[in-house]
Amino acid sequence: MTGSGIQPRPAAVPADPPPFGAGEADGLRVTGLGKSYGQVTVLEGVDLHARPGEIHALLGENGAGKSTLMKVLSGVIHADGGRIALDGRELTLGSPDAARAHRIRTVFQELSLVPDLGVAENLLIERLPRQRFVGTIGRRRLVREANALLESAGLDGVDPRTRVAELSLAVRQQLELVKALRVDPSVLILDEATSALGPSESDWVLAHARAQASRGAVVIMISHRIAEVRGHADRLTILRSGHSVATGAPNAFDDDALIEQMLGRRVERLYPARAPARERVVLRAKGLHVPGSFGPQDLELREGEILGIGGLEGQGQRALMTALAGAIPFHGELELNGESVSYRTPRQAIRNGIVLVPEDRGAEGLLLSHSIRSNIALSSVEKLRSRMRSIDAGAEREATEREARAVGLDVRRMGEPARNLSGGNQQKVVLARALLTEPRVLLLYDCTRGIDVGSKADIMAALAQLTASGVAIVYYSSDAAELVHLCDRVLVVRSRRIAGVLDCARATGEEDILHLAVGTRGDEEEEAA
Amino acid sequence: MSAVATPTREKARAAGISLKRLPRGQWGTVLLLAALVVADFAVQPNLADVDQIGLLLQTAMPAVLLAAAQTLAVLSRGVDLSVGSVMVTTNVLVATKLGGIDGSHMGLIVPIVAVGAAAGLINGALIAYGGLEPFVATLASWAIFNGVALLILPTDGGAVPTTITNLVIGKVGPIPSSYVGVAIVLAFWWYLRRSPLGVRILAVGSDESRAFLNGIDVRRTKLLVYALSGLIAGLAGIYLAGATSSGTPAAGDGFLLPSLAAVVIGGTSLAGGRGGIGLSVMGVMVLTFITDLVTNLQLPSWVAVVANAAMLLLVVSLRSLPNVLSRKETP
Repeated sequence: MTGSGIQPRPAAVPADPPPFGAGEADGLRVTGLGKSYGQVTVLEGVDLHARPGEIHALLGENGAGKSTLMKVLSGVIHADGGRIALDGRELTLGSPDAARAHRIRTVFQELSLVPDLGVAENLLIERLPRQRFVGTIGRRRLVREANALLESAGLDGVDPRTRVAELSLAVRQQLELVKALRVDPSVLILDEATSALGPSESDWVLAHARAQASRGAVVIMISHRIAEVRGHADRLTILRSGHSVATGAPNAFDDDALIEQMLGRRVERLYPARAPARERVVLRAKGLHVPGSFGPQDLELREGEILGIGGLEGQGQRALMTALAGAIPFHGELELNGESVSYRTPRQAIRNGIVLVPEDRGAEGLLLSHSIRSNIALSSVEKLRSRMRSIDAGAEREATEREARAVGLDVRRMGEPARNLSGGNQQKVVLARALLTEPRVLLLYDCTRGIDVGSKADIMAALAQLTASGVAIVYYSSDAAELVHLCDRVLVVRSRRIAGVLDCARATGEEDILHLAVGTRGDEEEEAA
Repeated sequence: MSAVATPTREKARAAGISLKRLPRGQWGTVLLLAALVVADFAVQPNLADVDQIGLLLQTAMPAVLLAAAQTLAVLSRGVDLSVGSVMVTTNVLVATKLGGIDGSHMGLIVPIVAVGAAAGLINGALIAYGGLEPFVATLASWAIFNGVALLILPTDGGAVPTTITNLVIGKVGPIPSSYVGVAIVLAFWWYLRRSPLGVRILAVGSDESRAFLNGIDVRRTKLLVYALSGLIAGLAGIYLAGATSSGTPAAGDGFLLPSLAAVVIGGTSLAGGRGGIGLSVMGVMVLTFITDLVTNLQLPSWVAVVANAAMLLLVVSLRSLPNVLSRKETP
């Protein structure tokens, strides 16, 4: 059980009485599962059947109940009704330990690694190697076992003694999988396990998922990347508003059908039509330079424009965005509406109408225990007050609801704590907060990462509205398709320089971005950006 | 890459010899302590003597124990405001219940030790199972145990068995027993840090919900943290009785804030999950040597108080200086 190598599972599992379901190699069968919190029903009559040896994708809008279902399967929360059976045996999953005892392992989207412990301690936390007699943890054995795990998973570049907090999100996500693989899971659940990863790391995760399936494990994968689901899942189940609404092979649905099943309505277009950008330049940077991270480069942003920032990850895009937001120091000159400006803190940038929506909504964006309303109002407290002296509850309500509507949030839920919202809706709250500050320039850093199609469509519509009113947007995304379809121009960054600028009005495809990003095409298109 | 580290380096690291193990930012504290020691020795040359230092350690020992107790609570992302009052509770019990200097009821030392642990268990139960904030729960028990101590012994006095006094002020072979006391505290931490409980405490302090996802019994861990804290605070009371040969029911509050100061100076994060008792012992030593230096310079006692505060600010500012300079806060 502790070996991490991929071993074929014996064809016949030692037979315990198989009373319920279709018997031994039945896999994971969920029937009639329900869960409500007070008046709110999150899951109702959910059926799911994932067979051993298959990768089963679970699709649905954020808030459809996927994460709740996964938490029930991992024993973190209890279902109110329904049955769960593994290979024909009914399970009672009362605690994380119970799920663990059945070798059900979840790679959580909200990572379960403890930041202040080392990699080795985290990987082996469930069963730390003890020394005989004294009962202490054998450091040497700990490191050795962790190294063996890392090596067999192909992650031998990671030092098991590193504190987890010092590792990048991508590596932590991969470690989460390594930890799950340690026990040869009978059920492996990947909860958006590739959302923080680049293409090669995603492939690594999916290869492991396939290997586990081939070994006879049940693999359940939650993903928002439809291409990924099509490429890797054998079957899929779609959840909508807490119900399982469809199941089948991926190629039984075309893209429209998938989205329709998820949303229960037809999404006309994910990327709305937008008026072309105006000629007037809102923001002009000359010799923008973050030593060691970006530039020096010039760039221009026009009124009503969405300027995409693309390229492989970690080429300096983050430095560019955070410098523009005043969060890190930079050299160079900035002009806003033709006037020279200088700011050195986000606060000053916000006063100038330049607002950044950061990437990690959980850690950097939201006060999870505060209400949605006060989260939206947070950055504008002073504005709401200067008008009314003390914060005027009525004005706050009105202003926050206006922005909530603009981004497609349910205004009936404004009093609920932000933690009750799904990831996509949390992102909308962060966006609504930025909108309430009435920005002239909005900096969006990967704001659609890991969120569902419905929320994405809402956000895209809100952005189109904004640009129509003249707001200029700088839009960084790791998703090339999004850049091509949403932006007016895309600025591709490679090795801290602008490798090229693509005009999306002309026929531009994702492959053009990639060519510039990896340097297979020259910088010939570089004009004054 | 690093996985192909040479076996010897591997060994050195695994055995805890690597310098990397001292958290970054803690070197300032080490240097500060060294500077204070050197200054103190320069002012008072005859201090550099095994017995003299032993005496200094003996004075510091109750603070060392309380800082250790406090560190455990802080590591679990809590705080224990009752350490001082639990200490005086066992302290007055020793001074009143063991039968005076003869120690005719010496056997009662076992239930007295248990009193400390029980006080901690009550804290732990309130926090872990009653859902109270550590600050609130231990604020209540701080007052209660101070009251209990005054109830048992209203003013300083009582008599402490010579067995205990001799143990505290005596020697083990050629060296004063206070060295052994500090060594035991450090050894305890060394063991705890390498035990599964230690990992669980750090995990709970670092991130409770993640610890829960990893199958750690968060509530049980917290219960144990406060029980251990109470136990150690109780031992401090017994030690203090031996060192002063009497019961001091009102002495507890003077130890409470220094125990927190020592934790902070040492470098344990008040946000939980990072740090350790070893660091806090260093913090106590910093405070001890400042006070000693001020005394040796024959400065008025308020200088020591202010100097302690200045050290606290100095150490904490030095630690955050790199962050301030590079403005590392994320947007």
